[in-house]
Amino acid sequence: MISFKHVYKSYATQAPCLKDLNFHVDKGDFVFVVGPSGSGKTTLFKLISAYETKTSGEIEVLGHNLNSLRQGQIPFLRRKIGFVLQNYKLLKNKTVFENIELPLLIQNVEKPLRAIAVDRMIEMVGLTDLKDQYPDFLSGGEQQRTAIARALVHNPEIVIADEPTGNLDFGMSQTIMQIFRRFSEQGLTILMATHDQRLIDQANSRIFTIEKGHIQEGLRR
Amino acid sequence: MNTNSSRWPLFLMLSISGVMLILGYLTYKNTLTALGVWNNSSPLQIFLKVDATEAEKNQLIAALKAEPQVEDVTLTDRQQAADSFKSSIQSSVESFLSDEELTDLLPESVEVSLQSEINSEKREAVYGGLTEKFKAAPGVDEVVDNSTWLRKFDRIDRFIRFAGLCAFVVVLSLLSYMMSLLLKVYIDESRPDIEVYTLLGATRWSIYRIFLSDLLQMLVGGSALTLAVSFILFKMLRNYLSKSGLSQNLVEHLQFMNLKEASVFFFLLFVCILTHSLFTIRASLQQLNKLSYD
Repeated sequence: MISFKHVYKSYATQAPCLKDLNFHVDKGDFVFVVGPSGSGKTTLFKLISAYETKTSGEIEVLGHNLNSLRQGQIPFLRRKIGFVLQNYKLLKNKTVFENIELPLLIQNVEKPLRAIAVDRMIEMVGLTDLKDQYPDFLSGGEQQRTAIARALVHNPEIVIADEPTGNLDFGMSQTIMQIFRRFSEQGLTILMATHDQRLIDQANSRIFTIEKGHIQEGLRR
Repeated sequence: MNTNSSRWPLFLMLSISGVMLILGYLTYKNTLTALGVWNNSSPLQIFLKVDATEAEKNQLIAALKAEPQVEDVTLTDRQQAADSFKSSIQSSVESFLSDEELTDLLPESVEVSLQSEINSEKREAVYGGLTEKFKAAPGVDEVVDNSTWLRKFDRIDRFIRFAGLCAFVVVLSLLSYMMSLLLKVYIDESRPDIEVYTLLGATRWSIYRIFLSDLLQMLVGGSALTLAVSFILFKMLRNYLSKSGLSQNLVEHLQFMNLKEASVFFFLLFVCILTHSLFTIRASLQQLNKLSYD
């Protein structure tokens, strides 16, 4: 599903920020990516989603060799990935329903099917009563649940969650984690960056630790 | 797309520029029409003596019609001359001349028009020849040949056409350039939205489409407003000129755009702005290509 072979990434003339990354992520894996700020967690996610190109090595994501992926194919790769980010990235002039509907609109899904899928997701993340609200009227946790629903509504194969609980209290973070776990159990591959050790301790997951550009893998049980 | 601050300036800018362009075109068009009022009248007028007999008039008209270059000959009697004079003067002539006095004052005349195939250079010579030939004819008082004067008018006419066309092209180019600058600001302000669309896998074309459909809506709305405002301003100006004592004949010749002109005008406006905007959107999105999701 995701495969890195001897991947290096450096910016301009600086020393490589990621060095000799070798790992493989299978379908249904729940992987925590941890490391200090600036260690390269976000760069790793950008490489997977083709926002950045590697300096050397080989990356394969969902059967696409990113070395040979053309610019025009990138949007189609991203349609198979759901993104949940720390700052939610919701459109302020669209309601909860409309925000969640966006990936389906972009993929030209018919309106009746969109409505069914969006309503189902809204129910799963517990936002039924707020579906006509605009993001500015929602709490941080509600906005993040909207972002999660948007990331999952089009049945992606991978979810990249970059500090999804960074702005939330521990109680809300646990709620968010429960949603992710539920989807992971259904076979969704999730890569999550977090600084919250308590969330990592509660999980039964693979852990990638990035330090000084290198990645080390461990397993939390 | 986001409701950002440059949306309304863009719309207003489009509408105001559109009104300016239409008013500029109407000035150009009606200047030509005003010149046309003069230009369409025959430059050769043969004024008849007060005591010219019916036989002399008929003989003169027959002789003129027999000329190979002459297309038509029109006799204007005293009543028609008085009516025409009164319609071209807004202020009431009755205040100092009665209808009978005016009719007595104005002579009968014959207007001569030439065949349309004869070009403007030859016309002057033909009118000159006709003047020489008929100035001493029986019943003729005076032959007035205005063709030289009208030739000069024709030059002004051509100059105005050319200057008007140049001004139109310059203003249209400036308008589309300014529209594209505003559109660039609009796109930059929409950057957070574009980032989200990119994140969710929107293709470049689908993002183009969002901006172009937004722009198209503004263009259609702006065009409707432009047309309405221009028409109201034109009507107000015409009423003002009509009341201000300007020649009624001239005021009646003032025209708004017809359907064909409006279609061509808005077609050019749309093509120019949309083409310019497409390049702007393309350039702006290429700059925003390295979007980050963090």
